[in-house]
Amino acid sequence: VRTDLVVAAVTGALAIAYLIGAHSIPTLAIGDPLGPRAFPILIGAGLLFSAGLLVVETLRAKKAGGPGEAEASVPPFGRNLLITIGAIIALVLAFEPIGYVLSVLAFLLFLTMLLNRAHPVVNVVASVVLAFGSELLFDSLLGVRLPVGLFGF
Amino acid sequence: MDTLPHILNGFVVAIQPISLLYVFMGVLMGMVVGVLPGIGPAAGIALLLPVTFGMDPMSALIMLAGVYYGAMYGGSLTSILLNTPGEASSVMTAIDGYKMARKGRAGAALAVAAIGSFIAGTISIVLLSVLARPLTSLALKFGPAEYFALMFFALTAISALTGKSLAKGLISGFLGLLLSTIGLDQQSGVPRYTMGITELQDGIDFIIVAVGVFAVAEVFRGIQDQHDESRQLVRIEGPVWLTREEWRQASPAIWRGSFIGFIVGVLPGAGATIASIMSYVTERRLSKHPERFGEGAIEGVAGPESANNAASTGAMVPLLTLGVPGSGTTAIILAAFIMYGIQPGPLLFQQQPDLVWGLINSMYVGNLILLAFNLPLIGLFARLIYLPTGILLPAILAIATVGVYATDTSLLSLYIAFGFGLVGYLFGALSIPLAPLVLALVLGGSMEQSFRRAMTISSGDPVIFFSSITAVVLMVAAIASITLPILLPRIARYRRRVAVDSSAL
Repeated sequence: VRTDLVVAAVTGALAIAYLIGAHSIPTLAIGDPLGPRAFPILIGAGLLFSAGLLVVETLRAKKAGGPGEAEASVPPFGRNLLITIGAIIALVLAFEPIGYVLSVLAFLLFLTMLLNRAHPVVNVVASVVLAFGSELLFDSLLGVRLPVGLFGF
Repeated sequence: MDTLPHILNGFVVAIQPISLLYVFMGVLMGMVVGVLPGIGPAAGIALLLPVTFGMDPMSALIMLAGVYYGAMYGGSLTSILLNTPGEASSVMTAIDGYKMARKGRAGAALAVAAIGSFIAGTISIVLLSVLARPLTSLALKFGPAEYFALMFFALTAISALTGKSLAKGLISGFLGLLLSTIGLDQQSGVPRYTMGITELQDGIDFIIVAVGVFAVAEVFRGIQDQHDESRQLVRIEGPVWLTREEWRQASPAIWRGSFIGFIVGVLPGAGATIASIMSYVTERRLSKHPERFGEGAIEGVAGPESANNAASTGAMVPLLTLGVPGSGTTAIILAAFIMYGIQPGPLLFQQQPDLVWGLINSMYVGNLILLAFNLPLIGLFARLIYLPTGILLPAILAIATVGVYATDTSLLSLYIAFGFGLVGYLFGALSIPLAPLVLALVLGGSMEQSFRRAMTISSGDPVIFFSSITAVVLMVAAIASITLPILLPRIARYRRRVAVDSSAL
């Protein structure tokens, strides 16, 4: 129950910030009668309404009680998930400086070793095939310019 | 405008070798996507989009549609052999399908799922073709007010029908609309909510958000829940076919499932998962021996599997004829159309009949290929389950990275995609549905434009949204879908129960 109230509060705060932001949208006194502010104001109001509705729903459910009312809650992020998120940030930071193939290869090796500990050889083969294969597919066949990085590939 | 020559011409397009090749590739990838846990049709199509960027639009659309309905075939496999649905829409199949497999009838369960999917798919394509003409001629009369009302209804319906809580559905929908306002205003050209970042002036690319909330979020969930349980498939014994008695029991369920699924699929908001639940409940209610359900009743496999396939084809109806998708996955297919500069809808049937009917008729071919390849290759597809998630999950992240970067070679897009991966993960944990957000983001721009155009026509009088019968019907339906659950708490309780029932399975 508490989690849902937090969701409502965060949504409400976001809606208010968004509505305040709507007032800094520059308007031109030409064209349509509504202008660029009207639709965002409607959306902000709707979001605020939904947040209020969630509070009502939560309180109603609390009053009704009952054992079947399992409430949503966010379990704490596991170690592997935190490490993965860290690896993603490292990947994005390294992406342009050291190039596509090397950064993705390192990323794949690291994560497969973390998540598939028992089979290191398979991990290496899969990572190499994927990194070079996707480079080949996108860069050579599809003509997407991927970052080349330090070593020219 | 006579439709028949166009339909026949569509067959000519659909059986060209190049079309056959892409249908084949599409449905094959769809099967794989369906079998693999943690990657659904929405994520699969979103990840594929960047690869198809340089392709001929026709071939790409044929392929992407193939992924979509092909996934419905694949989803049944893990439900039956592993009791682990590959897709939400195959959850109902697991109940009786797995029981059948444990009793040595895995072959029959797989066969009925494939045959039912084929019959349902084919019936729904016929129904789609029949409905195309009346719906497009209706849509040609639509003004901005009617279009706004239609999109508004699609959004309220999906917000009200997905998930346990109306409020959470609405929050998701409004957040999607909010995201759609970021960027330059289409009419006046003034920047809105760009926070001074130049790259945000073009708005937030829908495909990047879709990769984030569907693919990346699913990977996060997989990593969080990963445990090294050994997966043991039920062995398939005997021929992959039905006995006469099983066929007699299954065939009415296939027919009913096809029609239930198609209708649910056409209506916005509900989709394949709800269609399969409705079919299962209907079969159990109509059965003379309801106690067989849950113990390996073949109707419990035939009905839902037919229904989810019919629903996926049915969902193409509003997308193609009206240009307005009613679900998260068809929203991504709309994004694919837009990426190629094609606007689906009534005008497309007039201007590019070859493309529309080629796409529609390619679905007959795709269903035929799925039926022909599914059963003989079932052992091969089943082996995909042994693919270690420890490799699969990082691989999906790598594919997402290159795909997102390929859309506009910008690092900001990567941050947005992974950021939305986190958002999608949190939404899942908080049981906030994602489909409303995705649909709202893809529709938000046109919704605002038709809203403002309608208000310009009426010089600011909102009565215009109630000025034609079509508009009134749609607006009333939209308002009812939000207000009824609030006014009648009984509906809300019922929905929570259904949601709990289906999530407990």
